[in-house]
Amino acid sequence: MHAIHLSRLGRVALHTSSVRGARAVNNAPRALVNGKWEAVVGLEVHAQIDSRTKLFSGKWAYKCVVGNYATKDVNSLVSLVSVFALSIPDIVQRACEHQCVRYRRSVPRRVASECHGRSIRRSTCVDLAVMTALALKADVHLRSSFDRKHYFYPDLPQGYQITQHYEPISTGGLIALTELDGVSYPLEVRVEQLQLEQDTGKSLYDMVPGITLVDLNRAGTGLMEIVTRPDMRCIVVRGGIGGEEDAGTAAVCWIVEWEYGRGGCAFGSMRCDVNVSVHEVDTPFGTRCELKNLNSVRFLTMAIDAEVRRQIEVLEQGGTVMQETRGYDVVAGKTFRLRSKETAPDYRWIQRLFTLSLFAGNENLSEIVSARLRAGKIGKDVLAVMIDGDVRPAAEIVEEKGWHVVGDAAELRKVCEDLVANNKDKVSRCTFFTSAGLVHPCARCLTSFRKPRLIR
Amino acid sequence: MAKWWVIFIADIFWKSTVKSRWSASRGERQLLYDADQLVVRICHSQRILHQSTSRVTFTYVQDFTSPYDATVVHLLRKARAVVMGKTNLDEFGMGSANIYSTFGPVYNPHDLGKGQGLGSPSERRVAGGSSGGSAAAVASGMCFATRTNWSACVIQIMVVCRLQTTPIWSTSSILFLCRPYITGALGSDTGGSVRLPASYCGIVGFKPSYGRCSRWGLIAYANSLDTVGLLARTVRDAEIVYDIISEHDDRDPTSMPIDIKKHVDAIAPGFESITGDLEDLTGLRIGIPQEYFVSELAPAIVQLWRDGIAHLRDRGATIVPVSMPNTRHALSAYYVLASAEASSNLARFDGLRYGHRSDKGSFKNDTLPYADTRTEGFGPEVRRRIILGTYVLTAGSYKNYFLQAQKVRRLVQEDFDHVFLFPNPVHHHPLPTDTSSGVHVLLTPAAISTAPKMQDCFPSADETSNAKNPVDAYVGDVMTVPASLAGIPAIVVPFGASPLDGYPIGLQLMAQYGDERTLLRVAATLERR
Repeated sequence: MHAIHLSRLGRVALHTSSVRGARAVNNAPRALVNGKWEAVVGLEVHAQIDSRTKLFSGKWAYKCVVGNYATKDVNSLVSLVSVFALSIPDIVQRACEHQCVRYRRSVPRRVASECHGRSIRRSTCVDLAVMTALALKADVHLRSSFDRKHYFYPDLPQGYQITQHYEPISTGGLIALTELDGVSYPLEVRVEQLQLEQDTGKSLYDMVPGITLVDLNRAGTGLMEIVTRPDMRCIVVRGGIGGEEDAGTAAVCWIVEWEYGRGGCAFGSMRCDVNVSVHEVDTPFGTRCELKNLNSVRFLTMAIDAEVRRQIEVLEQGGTVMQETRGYDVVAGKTFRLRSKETAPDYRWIQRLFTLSLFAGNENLSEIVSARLRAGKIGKDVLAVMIDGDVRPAAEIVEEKGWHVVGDAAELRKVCEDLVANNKDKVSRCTFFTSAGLVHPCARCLTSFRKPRLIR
Repeated sequence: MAKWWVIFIADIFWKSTVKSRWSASRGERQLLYDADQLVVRICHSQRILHQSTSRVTFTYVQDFTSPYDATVVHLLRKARAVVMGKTNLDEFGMGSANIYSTFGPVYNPHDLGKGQGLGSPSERRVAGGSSGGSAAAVASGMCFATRTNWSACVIQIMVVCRLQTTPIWSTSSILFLCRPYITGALGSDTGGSVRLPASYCGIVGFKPSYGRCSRWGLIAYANSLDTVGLLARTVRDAEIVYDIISEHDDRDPTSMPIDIKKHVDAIAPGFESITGDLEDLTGLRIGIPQEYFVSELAPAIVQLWRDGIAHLRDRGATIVPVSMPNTRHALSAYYVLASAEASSNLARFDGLRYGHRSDKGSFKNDTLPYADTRTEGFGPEVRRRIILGTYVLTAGSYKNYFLQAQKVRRLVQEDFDHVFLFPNPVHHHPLPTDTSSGVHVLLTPAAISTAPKMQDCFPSADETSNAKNPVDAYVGDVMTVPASLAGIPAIVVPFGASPLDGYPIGLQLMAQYGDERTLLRVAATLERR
């Protein structure tokens, strides 16, 4: 497995080093609860890849099929039982009688299907995953492989999920957080791995009472799963929510700002699972519990808070924390058990089902990067370069020039609009993306027109 | 009350005109009639004709109409083949005798040839599995089929008749007629599913190299083992059809890429004698693997094997005894791997989106509806293999079974690479072959016996059956499975009949990966008996 190092590309300079091995977590003063407990948090972020194609998609058109064969009789419903029933994008089962929110339909640009032992071709999803991996300063592996993870659930049409558990596309990596991101001290969160996987469908519990509806449009879309090491420490204020100072939240927001994720937990475009444990300072880490089904950043914070409190309570009463998977009940403000370690499903992995080989042919990684990373996220780094090669930390530059951080999306958008309006001659094309407070101003503007961006 | 239905199949002219007339008049029925898919390797229950079938097995795709053609079917239709219908098979392609089917077992058409009609039930023989229906259809020439009564097991060979108001369609392999007047059938060969019935029914069964024919449209049983196979009367017919369907397909990523295909065809030029005469095999080296002399081999088979060796030797071939020591593990490895992949591929049949859903499941617990639905929907053999496959993939057994089976598979592949003259074109590190002892093809029997009796395949409570448990049937695959594991091409050629019971026996030829030319060339000589 070889790592890819990126050297200077034109005007965009990225860090050349990649993270290998353990790096000491910051030496900042720790905030402790009750004077002795420290909460340790690790994240697993599932970010939907913003591509037009699904991860593995076929070439047939479904519109006519659904029109002809979707009948009331389930038994006569056309189904896909082919060997490459990769996803069933449009077929709406009788139980799903409502019009689901239509996510982006797959327009197959390249055919990439699963197979045994062979390589799949590159696709947008893979490109974007590689971009993200590089931006995380991770090692990108030229050869990675996909596995099948089996479990039965209504929104998993194939009965298995194609994911990269054992040989992911990239390992290592770093998320560097500063005060600008909302943490109280600079923090480096190490990334364990970044992997590509298939998304499942969406279960809708609330639309029709007593019936669960399954929307399969989302099934098969590419997801990036970013698994971090437990490098985050939570500051929990008893009875309150230390939201702003929550490193976990900050890390999530940082990832949210990626150009490559659609951001916005509420839409399920990004989902987080959190691993929380508590321990006393200078003792080994405690048993961790996984929190699942957290659909917004706010819930994330609250759930971590609740779980930390629960674990501290258990430990202070002399009990032991069991390794469990828990969910968060918003109303009660407590976590509850979903399943214990004993009832955890055996995923019956089929490993290394097929390999993903990158860069078959003469394509060069730097070409791809320069093509796509024109106005990439790395705001702070880009900023430095844009100000004529000034490599001081972003914070300094901001202070010196008297800029201020634009925190409000609306304000930022207004600023951008003003700017564009005033410079019509220079701007040929401008695209605004607004989602969950993220604005990409002038992301596609001409390179001659530069605007420093500070995004929060 | 017994009802006698006689289905006449006219000759080819009539079929051709019938088809065009049907296509014109049948409008929306065309899709059904054309029996589009190789996809369906699973059983439907027949809608109007078998109402009395008590067991509703696998109704998942009871009324399933495929929205698209399988690639091989598409290629055939592009070549103006007439697709006549679908045939019976073991459910999901799992079985060695074609007895596990919603429509009932398929009888060996040589029963008919005895001059006693179908014979008494205790004497009927199986047609082989899992593509028994196709084999029976090709072997019997599709003359006519009789169905004795509603609930009896019947032969379903040909299903098109103007007397019917609804086409009868029983799934799986596709019968077709290419001009001029070739009759053949497609089947799917995962562990010998095309070659075994060919041997039992006395016809040619051909399994190309893995990746030669596209699997797009083939319901997956085991991804790494599935191959589209052909059944035909003669090797020439098989070759013609093979040429039509062996094309690269973008939609199947395991389909041999064009550059590899060119490479393979270049380095495996195929054997051709100097004189060009079909009868002359000078220079051909034929290997006889010692490990295939298993104790279960019936004496009649051994004798016929020797006859085959003599037949080829008389035509100038050099006979070379070879050894492939890992063959004895191949059968177990195959069943572990195939079942594991099957359990994965069949996980999608959960009754939630389509197909049968159990009425009695309570939806409180996530898992309950799955268990009832799948138990009701799958037949016994399918259930057995799914459970076995699931077991070998569980965390505790993965290393001991699945991983070991994969390693055994690699060893079996290397065995073949050691004996063949030409190196394996797709292996990255071709093993050095000792050219003095390398061979072009291997010659083995296709089965360990002639077609077994129907009653011997079903274990029964009393002692009338020879089968003690369902796993006994697995040993019938022992000759054909190694070629499937290695992905190399294999062909079964009828070479005679057993003197004891008169049922046909076939001999199997295997060649190096990609070397279909040599295989077909030698098979053509072998069938001229």
